[in-house]
Amino acid sequence: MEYPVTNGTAVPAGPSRKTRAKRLLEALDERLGFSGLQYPVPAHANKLAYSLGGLSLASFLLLLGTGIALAQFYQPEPAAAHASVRRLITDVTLGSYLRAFHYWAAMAMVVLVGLHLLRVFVSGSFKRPREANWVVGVILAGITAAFFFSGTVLKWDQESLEALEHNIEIGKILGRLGFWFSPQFGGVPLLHRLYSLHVSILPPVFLLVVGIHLLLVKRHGIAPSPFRRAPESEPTEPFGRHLVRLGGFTLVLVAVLTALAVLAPPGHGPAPVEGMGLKAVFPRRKA
Amino acid sequence: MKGMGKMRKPWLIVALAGLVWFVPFSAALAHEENEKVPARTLVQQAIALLGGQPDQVEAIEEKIRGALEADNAEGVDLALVKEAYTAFQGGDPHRARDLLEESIGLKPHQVVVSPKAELRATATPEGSAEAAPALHEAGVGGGLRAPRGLAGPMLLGLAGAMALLGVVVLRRERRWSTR
Repeated sequence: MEYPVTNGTAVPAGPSRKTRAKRLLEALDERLGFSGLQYPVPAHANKLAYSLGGLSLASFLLLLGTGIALAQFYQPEPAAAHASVRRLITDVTLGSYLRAFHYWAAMAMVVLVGLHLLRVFVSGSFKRPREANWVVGVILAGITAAFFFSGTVLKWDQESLEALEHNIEIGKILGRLGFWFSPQFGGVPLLHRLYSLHVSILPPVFLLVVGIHLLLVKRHGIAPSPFRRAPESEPTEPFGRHLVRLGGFTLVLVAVLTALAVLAPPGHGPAPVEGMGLKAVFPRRKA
Repeated sequence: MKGMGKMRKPWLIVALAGLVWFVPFSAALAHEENEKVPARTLVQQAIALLGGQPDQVEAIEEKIRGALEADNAEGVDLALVKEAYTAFQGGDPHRARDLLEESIGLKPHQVVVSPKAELRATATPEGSAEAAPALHEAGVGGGLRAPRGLAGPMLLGLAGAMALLGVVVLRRERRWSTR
């Protein structure tokens, strides 16, 4: 057994002796300062309703991972995009599952962001001094909607073409300010620009804004629960425990998304044809 | 009340007259709109309708006729479109679809959508029923389905394990916070 040596004298290991892992953690903390994350959070913050924001972020990270994998097989050329998605579904190992997981994670993110906004509104967490963070949250919801829209266009089937027509209509409504939405702008197909928006513009912007959102949460602390009536002060827990609980919720979320991806994969419509309605390509079956 | 009924009648007559006038006028407008649409687009629309909604006979006829009368016929073999129109009117929609696909440079039922399909297509004689799917059929169905192959059950098992682990973590954390 080895003993640490102090002033030439060997000292036997006792209960106060630090383990190698703990020393490593301390060394890292000294340099990275992650113990700053151990700030106290009230007990009510560990409930599911107060974890919706964290779960939205977890969904985003899952989308980022699956999105990077999907991008290896996607061709943003209008002539090849539909075929590349179909190839991903039919020919790539686990490609159908990856796409389905990405689809359901996107659905989950939209729902979770909506529920998070609703919870913040109903519990009055947007009130002073948290008004600015409410605005930042609404911006994040807007970016989520932009992700959802651009992702819908990328699959390049009949539904995508109709979504793209809405995009062009928005450009017309905005007049000169809507130049970005116009298919004539930039000299490349609109699908290229929506692809670059989806994979290289929105993700860093989202991460930047989410960083500001989290900093403001730390600055103002978790909002008190309006439903708590006990007169004594609420017990607190370190933020690390909140993260562990969020990890538990995330595992359940991943499990649900995996099950949905396997049991209910999304379809992929026929190649888009200009001027055709969805009813024409997805006709109702006669009874 | 009687007076009000009398008042309504002239408006009703005007509205009916307007409708009677508008219906053929709107059809003429639609026809004019078709002339502005390139023939290639109209042929693609006709192909999509033949695949997805073959019972829409009038709409299909209108698209093919529109393609024949379109101002811009670039990239379309109008002779083949005319032949397709005759075939469709003669009650042969399959032949009409093949001719329409050919008229815009596609081999009938051989729109290649994946490398594997390309291999299949080149190995199959032209016009064979075994060939790769055509343009309008190149979708993949979704919705509820039983897990396929070995990957599906394995992924479901993994999902179950993750859900269990998540519940264990949450229960342990709840115990920790109530201590």
